[in-house]
Amino acid sequence: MSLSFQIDVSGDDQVIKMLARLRTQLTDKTELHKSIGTYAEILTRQHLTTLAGTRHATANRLGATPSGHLARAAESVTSKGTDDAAIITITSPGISRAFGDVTINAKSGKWLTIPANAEAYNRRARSFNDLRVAFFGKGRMALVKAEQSSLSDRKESGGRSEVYYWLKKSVTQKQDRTLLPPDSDYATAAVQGIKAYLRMLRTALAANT
Amino acid sequence: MTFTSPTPLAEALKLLNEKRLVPTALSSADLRELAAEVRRAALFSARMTQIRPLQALLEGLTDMLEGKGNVADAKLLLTQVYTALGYDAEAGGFPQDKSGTVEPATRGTLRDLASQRRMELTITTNYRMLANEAFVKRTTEDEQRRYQFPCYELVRIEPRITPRGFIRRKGGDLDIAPGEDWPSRFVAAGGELYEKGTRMIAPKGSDVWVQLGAGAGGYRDTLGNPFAPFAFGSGYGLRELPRGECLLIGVITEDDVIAKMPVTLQGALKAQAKKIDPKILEEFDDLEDDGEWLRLAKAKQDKVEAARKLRNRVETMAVLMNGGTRGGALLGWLTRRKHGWTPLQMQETRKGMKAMREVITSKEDRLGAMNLPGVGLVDFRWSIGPRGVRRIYEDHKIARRIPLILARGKVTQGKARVFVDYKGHRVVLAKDLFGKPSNHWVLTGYRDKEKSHPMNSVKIPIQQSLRSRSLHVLREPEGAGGREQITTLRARCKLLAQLLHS
Repeated sequence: MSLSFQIDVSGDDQVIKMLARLRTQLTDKTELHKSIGTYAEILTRQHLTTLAGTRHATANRLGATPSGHLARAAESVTSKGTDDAAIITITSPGISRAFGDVTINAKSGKWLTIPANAEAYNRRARSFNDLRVAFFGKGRMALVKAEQSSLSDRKESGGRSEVYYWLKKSVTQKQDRTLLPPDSDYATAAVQGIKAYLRMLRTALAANT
Repeated sequence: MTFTSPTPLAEALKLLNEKRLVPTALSSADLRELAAEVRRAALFSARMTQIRPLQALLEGLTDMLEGKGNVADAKLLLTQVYTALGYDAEAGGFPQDKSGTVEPATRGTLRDLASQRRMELTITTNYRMLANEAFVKRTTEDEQRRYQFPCYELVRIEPRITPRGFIRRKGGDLDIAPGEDWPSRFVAAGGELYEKGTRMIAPKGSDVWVQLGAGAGGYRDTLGNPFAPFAFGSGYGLRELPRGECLLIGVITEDDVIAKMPVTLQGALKAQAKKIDPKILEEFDDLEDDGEWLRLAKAKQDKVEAARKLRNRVETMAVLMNGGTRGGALLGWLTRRKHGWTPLQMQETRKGMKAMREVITSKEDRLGAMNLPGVGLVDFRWSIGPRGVRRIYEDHKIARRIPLILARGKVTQGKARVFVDYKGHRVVLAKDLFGKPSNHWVLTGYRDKEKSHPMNSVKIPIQQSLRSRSLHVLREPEGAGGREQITTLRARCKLLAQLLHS
């Protein structure tokens, strides 16, 4: 899914107060909000690009090549201004964790597949044609290679079976607010956007046309 | 922040829907000869001769641009189509094609359409081209945006194990490949480097971006587009720079067309300004936006990330100091960081080390303990006559490092023997022992080539092993639960020093 959020600009900053006055005087606030949105978009892109270089927890844990989903999220950021708000959109699954816990439930009769090794990372379980369900202790279930799915097969191979995916009915991902810049940075970006808009107005008024 | 309903990457979707699906038997080199505009109007992939995979690619990209899917979903769609069509790279591709249409390709390589590498490259390259074409259009055509942000900077947006401009030597170290790096390409395209050669910046709409994509300077791996990615597998992208920063650095001057406010924009802004109390325009701070606020935000974020990494390290160190069992995983992390191990090597080493521990503890065989590329499955057997893990463990005390040697070593294959050499150590694998053939390779012997000792015949004292460069994970004496722990003070101190300085 993708994420859209509005920039709320509030506080005691002098420019924020000026924004409030501006809003009352402008009949169409689209261009002002567009300017704010542009600065917030650039801030968000930079933030996600930095994360793309450092956050590879799952890939590192499994010894896999990073999937690059944060870099693609950075390139998917867009912004627009409406009469009511500046809106940022990020088209990337997983970014909504920034705003709260995300619980993913398996569809009725199905299971969620959690990658357990490098080969399974960034691949859907159905792309393998030789995985079978295996049952482990304490009610755990997993997808393993077909020749290791039964207990007797695993005993023959020395008690080992390589798990490709753990099967779960639901997974809850805790909120990670650091996926996006902090609110204070968005407020700074909004102030920059307001200043840029006011600068353009002054330049336009001063131009001899 | 308030959360609203999700919206797709609309502009990129529109570009995708305008493309025609073009099956082709041409190679990448042949496709380069076509005009860039022709290639941009089509959705294709080198040697993809059937239309159904292109339809699957289109569906996968659409889902990604709508935020409904990711690369793994798109790869699944492609895999299902390849299976349904009976695609076989080594047999010449699709059975529906005439014989000889496409040359056979080795399975698993980039020329194999169904390989993970090829599918990921195809999907991510097409996704990035669509997203970035929409980005460049949006940020160039909008007059207000072009005035506020008149330039692009070419920056890295995705890390690479071996960046362009470097080659990786067998030992894992990086060597410079002169002329292949992005600054050289940027200069060859007519661009200028700023701030002591560290920044690649050019105005929006500049011919530099066109030439960079066209491969000016003789580069043959470019995609022909004036937007990112500029070459196959590139981890670089474009970033907008604010007007004040561009003027400050000197990329543009006030006399440049791109620095001057367009007349149409002036007219629109004047109309808005006339509705506003003039006092508001006089009251605010007149500083130009030189990008300082963005640099401050990045510096703050870098600190947060560094603190997060340090927290993780401190937690790991705490576990380590208490004799925790994360030592093996930490060793792997340190080794990989230092020597550029591939994920497959790391995986096999982890598997092999775990299997070796079990063999030594239980004194039972472990079949298929490791899977070496180009060699096959390797068995660790405790004792096969006078050979096996037992002999290596008792004579050399180096059995636990065997998986590391196997994963990273250079393989020399004979008829019935395989020799794996790594940094002066040699491991021997055999398939027929004492007249008994085996389906798998069996670990039979070890030799320290530097000491020139005959195989399995000289005992090396434990103290000598401790002096080796890598850390040894020593086994606690039997009766202590048999758990793997880093027990020597010297080993712990060494590891802590590495953590602090890495």
